[in-house]
Amino acid sequence: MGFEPSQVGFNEPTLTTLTWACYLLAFLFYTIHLLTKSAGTVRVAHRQMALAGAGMGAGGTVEVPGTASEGRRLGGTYSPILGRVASGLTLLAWASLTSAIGLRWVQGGHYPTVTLYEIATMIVWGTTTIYLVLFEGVLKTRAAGAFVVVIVFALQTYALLFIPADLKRTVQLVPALRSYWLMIHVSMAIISYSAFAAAAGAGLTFLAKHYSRGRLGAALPSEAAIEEFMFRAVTVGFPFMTLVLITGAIWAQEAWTKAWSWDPKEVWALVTWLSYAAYLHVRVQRGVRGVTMAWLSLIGFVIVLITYMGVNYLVQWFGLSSMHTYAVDNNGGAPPGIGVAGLGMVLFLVGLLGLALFSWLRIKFPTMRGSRK
Amino acid sequence: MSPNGKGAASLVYAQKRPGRDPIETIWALFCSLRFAVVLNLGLALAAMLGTVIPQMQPGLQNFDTELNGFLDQARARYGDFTGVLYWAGFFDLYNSLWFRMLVVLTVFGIVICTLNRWGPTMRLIRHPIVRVGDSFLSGLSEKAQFRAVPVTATTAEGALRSALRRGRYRVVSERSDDGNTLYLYADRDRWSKLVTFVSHAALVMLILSAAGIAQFGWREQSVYFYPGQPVDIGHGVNFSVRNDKFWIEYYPDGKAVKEYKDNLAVIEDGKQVLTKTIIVNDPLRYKGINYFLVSYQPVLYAKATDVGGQSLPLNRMGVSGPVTGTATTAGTLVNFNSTSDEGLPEDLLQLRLKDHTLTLDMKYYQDVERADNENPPVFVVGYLDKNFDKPVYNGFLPRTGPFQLPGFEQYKFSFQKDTAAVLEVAKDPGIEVIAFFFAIMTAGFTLSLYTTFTRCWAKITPHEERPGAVNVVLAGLAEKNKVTFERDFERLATRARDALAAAVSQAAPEETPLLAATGQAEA
Ligand code: HEM
Repeated sequence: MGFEPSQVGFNEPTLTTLTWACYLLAFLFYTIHLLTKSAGTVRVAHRQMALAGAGMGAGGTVEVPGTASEGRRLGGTYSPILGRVASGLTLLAWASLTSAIGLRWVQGGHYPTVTLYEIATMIVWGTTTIYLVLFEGVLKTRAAGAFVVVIVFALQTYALLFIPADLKRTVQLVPALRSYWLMIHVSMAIISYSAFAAAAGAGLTFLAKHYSRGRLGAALPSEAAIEEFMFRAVTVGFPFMTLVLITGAIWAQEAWTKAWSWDPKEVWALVTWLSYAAYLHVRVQRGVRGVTMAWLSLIGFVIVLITYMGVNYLVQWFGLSSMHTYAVDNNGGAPPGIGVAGLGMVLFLVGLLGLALFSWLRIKFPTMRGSRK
Repeated sequence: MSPNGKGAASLVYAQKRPGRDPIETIWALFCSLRFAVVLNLGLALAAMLGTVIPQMQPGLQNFDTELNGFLDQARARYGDFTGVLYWAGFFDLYNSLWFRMLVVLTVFGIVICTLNRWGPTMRLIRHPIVRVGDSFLSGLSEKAQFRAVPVTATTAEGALRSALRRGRYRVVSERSDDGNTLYLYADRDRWSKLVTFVSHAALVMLILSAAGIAQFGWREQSVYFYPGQPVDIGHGVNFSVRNDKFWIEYYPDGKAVKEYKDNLAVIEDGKQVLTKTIIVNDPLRYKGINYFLVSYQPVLYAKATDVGGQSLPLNRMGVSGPVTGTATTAGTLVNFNSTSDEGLPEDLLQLRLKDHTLTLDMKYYQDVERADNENPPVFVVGYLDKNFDKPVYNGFLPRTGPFQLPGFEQYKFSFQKDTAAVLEVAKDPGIEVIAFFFAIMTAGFTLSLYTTFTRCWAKITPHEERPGAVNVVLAGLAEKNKVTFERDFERLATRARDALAAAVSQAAPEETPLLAATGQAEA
């Protein structure tokens, strides 16, 4: 992490390392929190309300559905302490990363979303924010915690360990980037990528529920509920992705003279947008539910990763020209150390898909589980 | 429709069946999910291909040498396939016929599919089915039942109506043919079904207007604006633009470029009507024409003098015309607008004397650093007359002072540095129109994602045994956000319960309503 004990203090290396450690711990706590849930799942489907009052007379009954909130549905037997510790750790990671980003902003003198490292950090931050606000806040669930945090943790590991040190420096903005559109356009991208990352986390949660017959499966909320968490995250991401395309076009019209020039980054942003549009149509128009949607959200997220990091590598590997390589190439010349960072990205993608594949294998070949039962 | 609402699907949507008629068949094809998926995937794959196959610069086909250079590079990569790839438009993929066909098919798909939904959707909104069957009701995901409620059907209806209205529903009711059963239908956010049409129409208009408008614009890619010389861009533009000064601002480290700046003046009818300092992110826009700063080019003003200080005519080679009078007071412009074999900006100057001609082949080494008050880093090869195989000078300009050729010391050359701005000049009409449709589309998508068309049905039947009492079934269906709707429906059901209880206690005021929810979990 390029971090030495002598550097400890209120500075970026300390704060990002602290964040990294908090994510690791949070992941452990979220997982334990799920696994220690008491086994008996009581599903409160309907509350029968006796209308024993006068006037309704004997035998008058009312059936009202039970509340959808997961605690009551599942009998509320998660360990509240473990869950709160996990949330606390995530919050601490968020606060520490917020400070790190703030420091970088102040010291670098511009909105820190130019280099690969800065954008990765911002997506980590954004995904945590969306997770905490949307999942834990609005939807009141910790079920996806372990799965979102594992994605966040992988991304931050990539940012800290795999991006070479000379790509982590703050850079001075080249003339083309000196515009207020930088803040608007990149912020939109970060919000949408983060929401899609959260949706991918929910997708992983879904796969875990779907394919695990064991304790984990029993501990997770219903498939329908997880699927809706995923959908809600996509509904945050999609409008922002649309805005990414618009603000990008407006900015390109000024800085690059043309609103749309089929630059590789533009093309991949369009493909990302189309793939989530496909997700929405399959779900809303065709009413497809279930495991297909989880896979679609994971595929969508892989496309997001290609759009965000992969394009830099594509441009190198295939000898293309792109105007959109500010992330790795700010002062002319070849981007340094792309090999290691490229390896990091490949490992990350493989890891993500491997995780999903593993859960799928567990159900396809039950002996893998059966032997341990 | 959701799996839960399958009953509703068959009930409410009249499906168009593919017939024998070819138009019907095509129509059905465009409406099929499989076709849409294939189209979407095809478009996405094609777009991706363009990011792994190097694409030609726009307009490269019109320059034979550049095109051959590009194809040679491609041949190194693709070998014998290069010809086929070129023929099939893979090197100019986004402008190829087949890519455009894919886009056109997609637009057709959106239009036809949307039109196909228009009828059923309008029917759904304007003529909802109020009297639904029991199997439909029991198939809905959200249900509440109230049994043996001792009020009349009309009173129960009133109670339900008030509960539904408080939940922002509009309510319609109908009686069964025998008059015994009362049906209620309620819906909320009907308009959200229509928003979808608006946003998809905006998407289609966006694509169409982008394609159409592109036909009306024009673009001049690298236009050199030399200091002080107005440029008339043509295309019927009735004003000219002059570059007054170009300069570069650096960050405090003195190395990294912070900003390129260029002062432009607009001259119309011989008068200067506007001046503006443009930067990369802030072009000049005047009467719909955009002047973008894209690059710059170092230039020199060259002067030659004899021993007496008399200035001599100096020409750029290849520039014909009278030998005198080509120099302005600033000197002869050397704009390095050709490129040497090494890829350096190059230019040729000639001093035409009575019995000799001196030629200077000048190459600009931009990487060599020189201070502002020194001569520019220009490498000069000097020739006498037509002896181009025997240079009389081979070296950089001296760092300071005038330049002289050995053997011709009586002639002094001096150089003044300046910079030309390279601009792109374009007319892009109708950008506002595109932005407008884009905005509508985004707003539409967002609205339709955050609003849910929600429907509820209620059925009020007389109680089987007890006269004067009724059974009530209330059920609901939301097209998305089911988990949220569960909570919402629970609130609705609670309101309905309270409203019914209030009605009961009004009907029998002597008795105390005792409707405390003695909820109990059912394992
Ligand atoms: C073949 C082309 C398309 C067809 C046939 C189509 C059709 C539809 C239909 C029928 C709906 C309404 C679903 C409902 O409310 O019942 C819908 C919704 C939607 N469409 Fe499309 N559409 C197409 C292309 C696109 C594209 C290219 C995008 C954007 C990338 C897009 C974005 C949306 C969005 C955001 C919604 C709202 C989803 C919702 O209602 O929750 N559509 N589409």
